[in-house]
Amino acid sequence: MSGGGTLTTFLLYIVAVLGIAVAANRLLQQRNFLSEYFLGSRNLGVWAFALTFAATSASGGSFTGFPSKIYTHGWTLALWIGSYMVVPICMMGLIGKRLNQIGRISGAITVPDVFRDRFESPRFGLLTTALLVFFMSFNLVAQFKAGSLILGTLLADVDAFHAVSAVVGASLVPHGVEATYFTCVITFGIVVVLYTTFGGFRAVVWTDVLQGVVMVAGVLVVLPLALHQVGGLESATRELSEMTPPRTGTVTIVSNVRSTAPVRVGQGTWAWGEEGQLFRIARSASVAPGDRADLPVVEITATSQIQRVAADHSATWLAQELRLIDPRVEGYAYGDGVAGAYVSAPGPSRTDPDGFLPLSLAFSFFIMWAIAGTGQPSHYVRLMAFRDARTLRFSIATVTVYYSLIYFPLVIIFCCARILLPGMEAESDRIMPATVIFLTENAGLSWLGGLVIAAPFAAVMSTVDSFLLMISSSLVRDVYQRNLNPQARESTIRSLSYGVTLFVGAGAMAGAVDPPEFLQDIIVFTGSGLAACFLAPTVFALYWPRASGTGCMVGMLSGFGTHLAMYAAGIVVNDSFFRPVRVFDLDPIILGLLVSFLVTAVTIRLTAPPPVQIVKKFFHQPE
Amino acid sequence: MAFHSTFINARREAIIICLVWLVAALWSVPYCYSAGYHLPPGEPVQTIWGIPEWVVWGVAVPWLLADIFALWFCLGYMADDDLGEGEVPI
Repeated sequence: MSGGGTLTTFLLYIVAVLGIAVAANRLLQQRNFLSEYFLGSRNLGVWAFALTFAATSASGGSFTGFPSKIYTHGWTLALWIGSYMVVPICMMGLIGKRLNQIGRISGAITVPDVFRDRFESPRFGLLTTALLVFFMSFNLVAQFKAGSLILGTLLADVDAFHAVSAVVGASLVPHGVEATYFTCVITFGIVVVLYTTFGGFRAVVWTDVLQGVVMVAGVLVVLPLALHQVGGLESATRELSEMTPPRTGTVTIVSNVRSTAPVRVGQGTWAWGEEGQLFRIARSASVAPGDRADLPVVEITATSQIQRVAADHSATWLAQELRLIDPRVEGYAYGDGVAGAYVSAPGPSRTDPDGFLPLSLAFSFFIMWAIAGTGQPSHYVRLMAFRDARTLRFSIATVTVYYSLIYFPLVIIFCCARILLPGMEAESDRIMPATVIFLTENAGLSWLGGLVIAAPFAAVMSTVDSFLLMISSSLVRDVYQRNLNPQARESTIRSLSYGVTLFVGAGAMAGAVDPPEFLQDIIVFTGSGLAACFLAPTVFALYWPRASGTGCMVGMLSGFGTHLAMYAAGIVVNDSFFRPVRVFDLDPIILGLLVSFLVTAVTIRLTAPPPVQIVKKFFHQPE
Repeated sequence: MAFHSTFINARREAIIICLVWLVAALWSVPYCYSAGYHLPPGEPVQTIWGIPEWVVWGVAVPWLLADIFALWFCLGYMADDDLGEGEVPI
């Protein structure tokens, strides 16, 4: 790919995003500040509402983690993502209309506002704020890291990027942090924090629209390229059905005596073993004369893949000065040596002897995407912001078509990538950009690569900006204005909103410079934790006139406690917080939701009914 | 005193959506389990348009039907309820 072309595409994209923020800020000057800055004046139309909802929901995981899983486990990912057939109607239709109505009746701008006003309980508002800030701060740091990694991949071939990183690396980079990664964190952070702070909710929505278009366009461009280059889907699935999963482990690379200078081994280098095995080296290293290095590898076991690599003239092979010896590899815990593992369920798994998607997990994911997805507060904010019921109806229809155009085609694309790009298991998070570059270069459309790779970057940006605004709105509106200074002037609120958004964004950026290791695990933990806390109290608050504030608060805390307990127990049972205990082999979110719904219902029954005027206000026709 | 029509309609629509989710789950997961899990190794997988047959009947077809239902539900069934005024007091 042309580095200049990619850079130009990227810069154009950034200019467009910042331009949107400027336009949104002009609109902000003409409206009620708080309502416009945090809720877009509750006036989103069909396209804006549909695409901001879709883009926020499709985080970076849709374009990095999901393709990586398809590549690694094959067609079983169609079932893993299968509940997306009902995700739009569930996430938007289950609570959208009532949440929007209650928001209007109470004048709520934020999610804590809704709970506080629905139950006339400042304590409930503060509890909601505390849980939101707790979960979303962790998630924000993880999303910053994801965005920076994607940006690094996007700009990997751009000479100017490496030049800037070298300059930055010489002066600013903390010890132990890669200069390129640091440059990406700073770039990503400054852009997102600037346009979110300056433009508020309206800028976030408009950039989401732009990002939503980029995402679907990327998928629709790549799908025919993948099908054409793999020789049709029939051919791809037939080859997949004959493939066996690779083996993974380490090898020793030794330097021949004739070498005089250190020889570099790049990530992705191919090498033959002494018994004719084919290995792909998974980490870069430099081997000094007479020295040796132990490196992680993937051993290709499928004959068709070995032939494909052997015939690939662009493949990079181990330098002649080096030799590969002593492979120590082991097969997958499920699917080792089994032809057909990639076209059947539960799919091959390196670590789990029951396979990637045992029945219990398949059912868990059907609940997780559709039902737990409904309980995400970042979606609540959007559901409070659409203009009218007609907008909701047309938006659900739009997102239904939109998701169908993205998720099932992604399964097809990356099953094809499994054939076209062998041996990327050890770096499968890079499979999306690697596939795009491979397909567009082969088709002579290198210029298109930069635009398509922008899709995952756009997905992360649209998630980060939403979370950033949610945290700052909770602090400004729910803590400061509603508890500390109810008489605050609009100019004070305005300055505070800008300042807090900037401060939270800068904090997340600083956290991402040396981020926690378990990126995807943090995202899963926070997403499922939020659903365990919020879904049951929300459903009861919206649909049960008898619901009491105490009952919903206790239910919220029970969901939080149950979910957290499953993860904490993982430290004792599985030696890791991020390997939670699974009761009946179900994901912790299932137990969290069950307990939360049960405890909320029982506590509501045991506590006094809400005052009549509250029930009248939110459930009855106005007199 | 009568309940607000928006509340009544939203509750009815939410119940229908829950039933749709249940039907989708009870179709997709059990069908895929019976037709797509633990296939005999080495045997050619049956495909339709290049997609494994179990994925077609277990995921693609219900997905298509769910889309058709969702479009009808949103565009032809859901009520255009009055959600109230949009002004936010400061």
